[in-house]
Amino acid sequence: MNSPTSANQKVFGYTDRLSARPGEQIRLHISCEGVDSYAATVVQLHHGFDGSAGPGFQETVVPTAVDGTYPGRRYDCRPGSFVEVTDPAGTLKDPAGFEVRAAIFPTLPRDDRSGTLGAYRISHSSVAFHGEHQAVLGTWDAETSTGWALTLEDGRPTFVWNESGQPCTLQLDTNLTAHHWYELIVEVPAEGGEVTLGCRPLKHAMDLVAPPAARLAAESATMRTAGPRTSSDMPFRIGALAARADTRLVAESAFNGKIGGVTIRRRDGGADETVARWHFGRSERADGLLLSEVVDESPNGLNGCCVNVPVRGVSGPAFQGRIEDFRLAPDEFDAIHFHDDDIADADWPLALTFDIPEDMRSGVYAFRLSAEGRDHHVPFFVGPGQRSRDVAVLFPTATYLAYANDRIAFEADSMEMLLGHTPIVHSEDLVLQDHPEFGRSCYEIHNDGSGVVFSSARRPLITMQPRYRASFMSEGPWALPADLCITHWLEEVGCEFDALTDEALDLEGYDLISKYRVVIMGSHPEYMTRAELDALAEFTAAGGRLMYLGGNGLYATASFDPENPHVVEVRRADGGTRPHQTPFAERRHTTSGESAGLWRNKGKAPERLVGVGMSAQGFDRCTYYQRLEDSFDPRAAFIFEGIGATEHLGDFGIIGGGAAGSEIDFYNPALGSPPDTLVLATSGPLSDSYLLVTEELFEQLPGLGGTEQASVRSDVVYAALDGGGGFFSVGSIAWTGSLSHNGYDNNIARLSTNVLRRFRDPESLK
Amino acid sequence: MTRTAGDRVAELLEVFTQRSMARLRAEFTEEVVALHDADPLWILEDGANRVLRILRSQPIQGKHLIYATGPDGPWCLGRVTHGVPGNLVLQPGTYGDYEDAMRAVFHERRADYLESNAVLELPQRKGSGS
Repeated sequence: MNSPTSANQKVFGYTDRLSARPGEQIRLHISCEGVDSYAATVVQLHHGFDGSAGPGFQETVVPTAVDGTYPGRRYDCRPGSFVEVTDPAGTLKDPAGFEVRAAIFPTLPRDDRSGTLGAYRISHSSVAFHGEHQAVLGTWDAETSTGWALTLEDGRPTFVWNESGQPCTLQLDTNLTAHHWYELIVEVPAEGGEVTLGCRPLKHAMDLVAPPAARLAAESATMRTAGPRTSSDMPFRIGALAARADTRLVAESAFNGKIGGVTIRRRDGGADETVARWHFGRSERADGLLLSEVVDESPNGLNGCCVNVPVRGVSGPAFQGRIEDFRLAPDEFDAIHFHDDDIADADWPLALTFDIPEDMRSGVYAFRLSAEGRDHHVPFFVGPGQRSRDVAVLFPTATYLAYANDRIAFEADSMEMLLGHTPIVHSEDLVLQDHPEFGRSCYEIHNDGSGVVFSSARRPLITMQPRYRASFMSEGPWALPADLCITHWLEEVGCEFDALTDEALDLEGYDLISKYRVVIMGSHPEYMTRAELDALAEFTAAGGRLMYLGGNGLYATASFDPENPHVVEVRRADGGTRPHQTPFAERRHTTSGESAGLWRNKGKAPERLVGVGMSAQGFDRCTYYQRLEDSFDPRAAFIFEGIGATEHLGDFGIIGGGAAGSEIDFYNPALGSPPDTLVLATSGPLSDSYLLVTEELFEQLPGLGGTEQASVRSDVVYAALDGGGGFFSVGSIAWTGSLSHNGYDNNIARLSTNVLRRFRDPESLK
Repeated sequence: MTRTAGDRVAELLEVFTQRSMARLRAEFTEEVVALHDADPLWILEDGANRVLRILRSQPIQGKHLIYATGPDGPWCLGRVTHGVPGNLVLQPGTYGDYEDAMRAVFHERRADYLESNAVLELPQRKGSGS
């Protein structure tokens, strides 16, 4: 027996954003491991899947000023979210005379997580947790033992400071119980005297029974202090401390749980003044969103900034249990949930910049970084330049990020049961296992058992490697590699296209796509924003033609942080297919104000826009399509030119061996498939690994699998709308994997090309 | 010794697991083996799928994964082993087809759970934290 090693991956990188336009600059951050130099070049990505059943991996070098060999070094990527306070006057450096109060809700006070969590029954974390030191707030510098901090040490409230050059510790005996609110109070004399540390359980509107059941009790302790105290050079942080790593200050002793109601008062010689009162529920933005800025309500203006996306808009110690929107009752949402494994920005120093030439063609590119014979690609999209084309591909970058760095095959008991086969992993997965610091996907749970709701582009994205194959796909491509099957097909048929991304469409709306005749959606555009859905609806209503060449699309709510669009937010509601569930009253996106969940549950079912909506998912084997009566309607004749009346469509492909499968959608007039939608084809037999989605279930009924449930199917539909536009939808992630079969001489490629040709024709669809 | 909620949940799950394993022994017939050997990705028999679901739902620690050594294979078997490089320990031998690797996983589990009488020694499903 032996362990495969991923140590031959020597260089990693990420960009400041996933897309940019000609004339703009994109910034690259790089870390090397075990090598002191790397080669960098820009490549255009044409095709990702590198198995012999397809066209193979294809990239072309684009000569740019980036080409070259550069010195490299290793930089830490340190997860852990916190608030860093801007304190130029050093008000918080010495706690003399301070009374510090903080309400805390520890979620993992000790290393004792147990049980199976989330939809996939995650029983093990492959991200190491070292929770013996968890910081609530302070300036403590562990390296020099200076400053001060309020912490949990192996679950026990602790106050630490430096006195006469020596570290001093005051600690309570109470081991805090997870998922209860406590108030911690520290009183520090202005000069000599007694330091007091107290802890008391808080009554909470949602937790009236549990405190006595858990036998929670108050406790306090004192310790003589003579001063003077020695300050540190570290910034004041809430939720973590600071530690030096190369030239940066990273997170240290990160907290797992909520912190709220943080107040510091100074009581000195009869004076009683507020030094700081951070209100985590209050926003100074007109729209009330809770983004990075943290407001200090004291006269000192000690505002803070969230780092590594802790979760805001969560219920605090004063939550009353009725209001679910943080904007309507800020005082009840005065809390932030911190996690030791949060990461939104690896914060590596800038390595290279790339000024995108004005004449660079829109498309999919990557920085190819090479060291010791192994490549690491950092993909990016070049958006449209001055000369736009008539066809655009909308790359589902929100979904790429939601799945980014997914590692559940190594953590979840039920993953294999969900798939219907043993997961197949690859060297990239092992790289990810060896680099837990690169952060989690929105399909995982944090170390403390809460669901991951943020993802970011500013970290190495191992799953966005162009050749990557997800463990659940039976060796087929997924996400970006699957969408490269679309772009390669477009190149094959000589169709130039512009590359658009979710964050660009979210920001620019309909204006971004108004000039295109055809917009093609990717293989799995699961997560979308309201602005995107509205833009696409306006597009088809105004004569645009939409080709939805994927499955489980336009499905659930995503939001981009308006101040940090490299961050996407995906909270989970209490209905629909979901990997975990966000707690009550915490399901409102703080970056947009949107409620979490499926668009169908918010009056915007995908059926209204593309005629189909999610029906099932399965990962064992895909199937073909068979033609239905509507496929012989004269209005659909252009679609089936060159295709026989009885042909099976797509009984081949690199995703599960068929064009219909993986995650699939069905025609559902009850949810708004337009009346004149033609149902052209439906999928062949599917196994019982394909189960009807939970949002279609209002009561448990036996027989939910593909062999018994009529709704477990993928339907290909077409509709012409008033105004000349329309849509063509395939409702299957696997469709793109069939395009290249037999050198593109097959009925899926032919059918897709027929639709594309007609959709590019300015004559109105009928 | 103070019993925790985790201990109680583990005990309840163990009761279920023992019942589940008893059923597995009864339903794990040669017909199931033949079905899986014939096509591990296309099994439509209810009883066979029930057996497979039990085998596939075991705790992740020590569980099989299939590792692809190249774009067209070959594939080999590995066991999730947290703490080693890649958190995966590979087993000797390779397979030219990933479906053959799936068959091999199935037969190893069959041996583990039936032929070696290891049922009583099954690991409890209590999570080990991190």
